[in-house]
Amino acid sequence: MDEGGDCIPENADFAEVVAEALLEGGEFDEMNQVILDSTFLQNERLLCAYNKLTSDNSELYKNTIGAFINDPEFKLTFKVGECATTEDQCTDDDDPNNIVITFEDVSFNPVELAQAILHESIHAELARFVKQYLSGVDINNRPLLFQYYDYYADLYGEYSGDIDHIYMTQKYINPITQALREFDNNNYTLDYYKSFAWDGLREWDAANLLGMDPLADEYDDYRVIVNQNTTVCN
Amino acid sequence: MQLRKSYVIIFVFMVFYSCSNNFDKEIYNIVINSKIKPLPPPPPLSIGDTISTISKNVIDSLNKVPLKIAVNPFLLDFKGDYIKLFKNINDGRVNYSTSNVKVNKEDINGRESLKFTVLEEDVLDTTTIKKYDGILFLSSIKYNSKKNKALVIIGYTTGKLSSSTYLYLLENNADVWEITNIKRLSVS
Repeated sequence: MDEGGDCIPENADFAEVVAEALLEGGEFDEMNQVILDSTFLQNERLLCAYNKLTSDNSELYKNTIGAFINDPEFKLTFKVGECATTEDQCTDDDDPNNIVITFEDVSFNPVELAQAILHESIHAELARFVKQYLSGVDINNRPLLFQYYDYYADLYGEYSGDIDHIYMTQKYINPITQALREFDNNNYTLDYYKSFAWDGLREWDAANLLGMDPLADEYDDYRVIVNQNTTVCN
Repeated sequence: MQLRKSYVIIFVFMVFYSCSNNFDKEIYNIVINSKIKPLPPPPPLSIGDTISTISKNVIDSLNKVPLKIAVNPFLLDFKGDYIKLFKNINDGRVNYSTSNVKVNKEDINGRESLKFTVLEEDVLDTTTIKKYDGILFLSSIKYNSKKNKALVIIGYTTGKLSSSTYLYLLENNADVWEITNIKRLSVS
């Protein structure tokens, strides 16, 4: 138990990381086994977006951030700070057992912040998934992901983040769209949230899914409407 | 006699200097060509038991696609103990950050289809990114004491939420540098 009476997980390493975060003003989200760094807690809008996603508890949220529930072997930390090779967000997953998602640009619209949280959380969960798979855990329920890793390996390297993006265009556009609609209290139809879901994935649309979508241009117009009218965390 | 001696010293110095620089240039060439690729070809249409791979012909043709690359002017640098990474690049977290050291423009090179522009400022705004196909980040190259192993970090950003960073380990065998291991550090 910590000073506030919260339970700290049995895993010693994880407990150490959690204790460190608590001492530095961070917060341990017990329900979701993730660490919210003090820098993250201090950003009101970012924290609001995270809390709204948590309370929505969408399928995508459960399958990404929620995948870290009751799995102290894998730690997920959210913080605000600098990314070395981008000025928006980054997921440092070179140690898949201790993944850190950093938000550098926090000036986005709340729906965009929610999309960024989900997008990076998908990377985190895929890194966790691959680590489990390589450790011999029989979790091969994503044959398409591994087909892509094999197919694109000679081009982008093994288990490349770029391949994650190609996979995400196939499997995550609709779940992100659905989660963002819930985030925005179902204010508009799903099409209004498609443009957000494609952020970071447009250049990886290998199958030209967005290119073939007759409503693609309209999605961008809808996005403006959502950004102007959302009241969540604004 | 004295003049000849001076010429010899200058010659030896130039050979040594150019050799050490050639390593950097050669290594950057290898990792840049490895990391920077054009847009992906379509995935396989049907997913069966057979694992398909992209043919060499397709990769060769993709490597001919012209790309305009902006180079971030400041080198990334390793922080903390990187020596252990020569033995095993998977040995724990790799700490790195942007340094104040500027990229040596003459070292930046890649295959013919890549055109490089070293930026004057560390600016990654949307306007800058839109002018190029991607923004390249490089670290200084770290060599082991025998100078037959090298570590370098390379990052490539193509837009918002679309970047990835890797650590490369290279080895020199029979005067040829080859990539022996790659570790994913970050993705966005």
